[in-house]
Amino acid sequence: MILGWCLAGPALGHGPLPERVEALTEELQGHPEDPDALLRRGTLRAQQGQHGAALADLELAHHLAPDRPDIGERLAATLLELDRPSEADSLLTRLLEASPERSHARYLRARARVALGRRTEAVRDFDEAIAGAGNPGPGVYLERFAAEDDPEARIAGLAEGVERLGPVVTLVEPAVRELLDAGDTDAARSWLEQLPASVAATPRWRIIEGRVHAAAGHHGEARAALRAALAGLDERPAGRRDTSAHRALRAEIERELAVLEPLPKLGYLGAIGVVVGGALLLLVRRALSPPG
Amino acid sequence: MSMRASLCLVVLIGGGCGLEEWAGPVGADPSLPSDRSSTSLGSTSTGGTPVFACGDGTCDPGELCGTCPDDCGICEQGAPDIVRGPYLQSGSAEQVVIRWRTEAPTASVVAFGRDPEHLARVVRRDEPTTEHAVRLTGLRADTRYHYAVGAPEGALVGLGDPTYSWRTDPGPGYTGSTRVWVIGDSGTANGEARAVRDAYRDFTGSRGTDLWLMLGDNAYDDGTDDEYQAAVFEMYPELLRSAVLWPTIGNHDGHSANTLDQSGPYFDIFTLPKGGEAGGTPSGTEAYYSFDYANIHFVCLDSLDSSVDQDGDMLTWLRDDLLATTQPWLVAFWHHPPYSKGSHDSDSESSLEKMREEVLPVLEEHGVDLVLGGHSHAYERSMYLHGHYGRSSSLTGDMIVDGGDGRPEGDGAYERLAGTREGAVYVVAGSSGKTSSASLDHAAMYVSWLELGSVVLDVDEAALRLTFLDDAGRELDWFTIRGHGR
Repeated sequence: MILGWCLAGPALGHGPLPERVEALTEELQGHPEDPDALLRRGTLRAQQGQHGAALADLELAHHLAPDRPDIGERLAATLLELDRPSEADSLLTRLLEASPERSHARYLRARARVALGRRTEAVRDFDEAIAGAGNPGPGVYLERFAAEDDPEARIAGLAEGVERLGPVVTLVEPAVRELLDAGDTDAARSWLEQLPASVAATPRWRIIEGRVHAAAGHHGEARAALRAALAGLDERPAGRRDTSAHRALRAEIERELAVLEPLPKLGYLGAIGVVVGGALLLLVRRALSPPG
Repeated sequence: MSMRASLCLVVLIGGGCGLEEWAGPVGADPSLPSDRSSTSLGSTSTGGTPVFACGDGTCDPGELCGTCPDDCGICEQGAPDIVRGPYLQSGSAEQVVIRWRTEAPTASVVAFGRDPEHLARVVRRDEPTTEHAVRLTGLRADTRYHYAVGAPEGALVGLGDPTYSWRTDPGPGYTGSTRVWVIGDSGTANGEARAVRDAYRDFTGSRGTDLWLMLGDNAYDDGTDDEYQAAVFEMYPELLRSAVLWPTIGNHDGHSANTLDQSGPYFDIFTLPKGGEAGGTPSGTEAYYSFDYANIHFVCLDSLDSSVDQDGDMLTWLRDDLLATTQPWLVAFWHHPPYSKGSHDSDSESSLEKMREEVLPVLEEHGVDLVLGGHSHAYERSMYLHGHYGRSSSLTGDMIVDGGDGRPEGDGAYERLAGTREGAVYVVAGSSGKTSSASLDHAAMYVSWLELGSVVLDVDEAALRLTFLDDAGRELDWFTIRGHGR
């Protein structure tokens, strides 16, 4: 995943990967110290999953052109793929000293530091990567959320994402979950209220709404939300209802509803059953009792 | 390519410069500055920046143009040439974004309406720009709109030209047929891409196209703006202005684009519905998104850069989006195909493997019908499958829901009826710009062709029919999934 996220990658040609690697190998035989060709071949080899060979190409390219941040970032990404975060961190630190504006390098170093357990520094790098990138997607906010230990900062980070991207489900859901775990149902409800109506009305979000109500002790509202979720499922076309994901969702709703529902009332037939049963019991007892 | 229309056309065809109706305010997409409407075209006093031109170039007012005394003139006000588009983006039943590029910055004007002889509504943006993006809102579903674009100085392109029109999404519950054109790895900007385009144009004829998909590697080699100009804007100008294009990012597009901050030509060129503007769940990113058209839910995924971790952003969004949709048909597309033995091998390339192993189970759990990919420069089409997440050799009989040809006149259509077993067809359509030799022997495939071509989807309430059309117009493969009663 990381490799593909490099800025302005090299021209790689198109066609089958092995043929392109072979063509670059021929090119490198004539110019063995061409950092661009090494970068291209290293990138292609990484795409083939040959991370060891990719690393050799990228290390040589970096050695030949140590000031090229694109090569440094790709090398760091490959080191991360190979689970060598310490080396990636050192490389990126040197790179960022020379080019502090490289948001992508900052992001990669954040990931390296997460892997090294240096979470506070990682969060700082995520902060700067987000601030430096013009329009970061939800994934970066989620990674920062996972790296952050402070509960308030975790929620604040998601709120920053929502402010920039809108109330996307990928950011709202962890916030609601976090707040529910902390017992702050009011805050959880206000996060839910940010969702567009079209999303909030879907069965999956009705379930989450039900959980928030239940956690707040509002069992009537919780039941209503879960029933609305069931009704939403029933309104779907038959083909959409008949998928394993929808069946699992229905089972989940019914399970949660069963916990919330009061004991079932007897109903009309039940009442008749009780009366008839009681009368029969009386008759049997009379029949069995000794004549008096 | 440059296009010009004169103010006279506005007067003659538009029924005079006074336009009768104001368009509603544009949507709240922060990437699109707010617009305002105008009652008049041709006026230069309402905020637009006047543009002065000598021939095709801009100049200072009063400057002499050309070489005097034989070939010269005075620099005077005109409208700059449109050098890209117009092209349609993020269309739905209620809205669309119309984009185009001009050589010099101007204000933006779109005149549109249902009557081609009378474009009664006008949306205008005063901020001068070369990258024009105007969102039209308040549209009617299932309606053909005609339009023209230009600058307030008076030039409008598209007036009286029937190809400057599109039909809005008919909305859910539509019982008619939807035609989708699908091209993959089309970005060669050469005669092969043109042949594929022309074969489809002849095939579809007056039926036209409702929407079209690009499966990535849309502009070789690096997805630069110049390459997009040649491979997309100069290759498909008529289709770009008459049907909404929905692209996905390929590895070559990714050479010059960055999903960290959604920058680079791919993200600059396309306006995609990250806020759920076209019916899907908002994704917050243009790297992956979803939309509805008629009775189909389309999901576009990013197989290049986005995480495919099960608790990562893309799959978290995907599960939510798939549970939310109520559309009977579900079509997913991205660049790196889950099954291929074309010029790329899904048994040994991590980008392909991760999509198969991580994404396919999620899609199948939610009842996907069809998955489209490119990357390999061939056409490969699977049997009707479920549960095949390993390498080619791991395919077993219980994963094959229907191993027939899927043709009603042959082994019978694939059946996706309520109560039948879930299944999906996987298609590689990466030969719209070139072919690359390969073994083409993936066990999941029912048929593979090393031929240039494109895919045509025809979808109605009862069936989804896919055709592979080669560059000579031959229908080399086809199948149907029946979904009656869904």
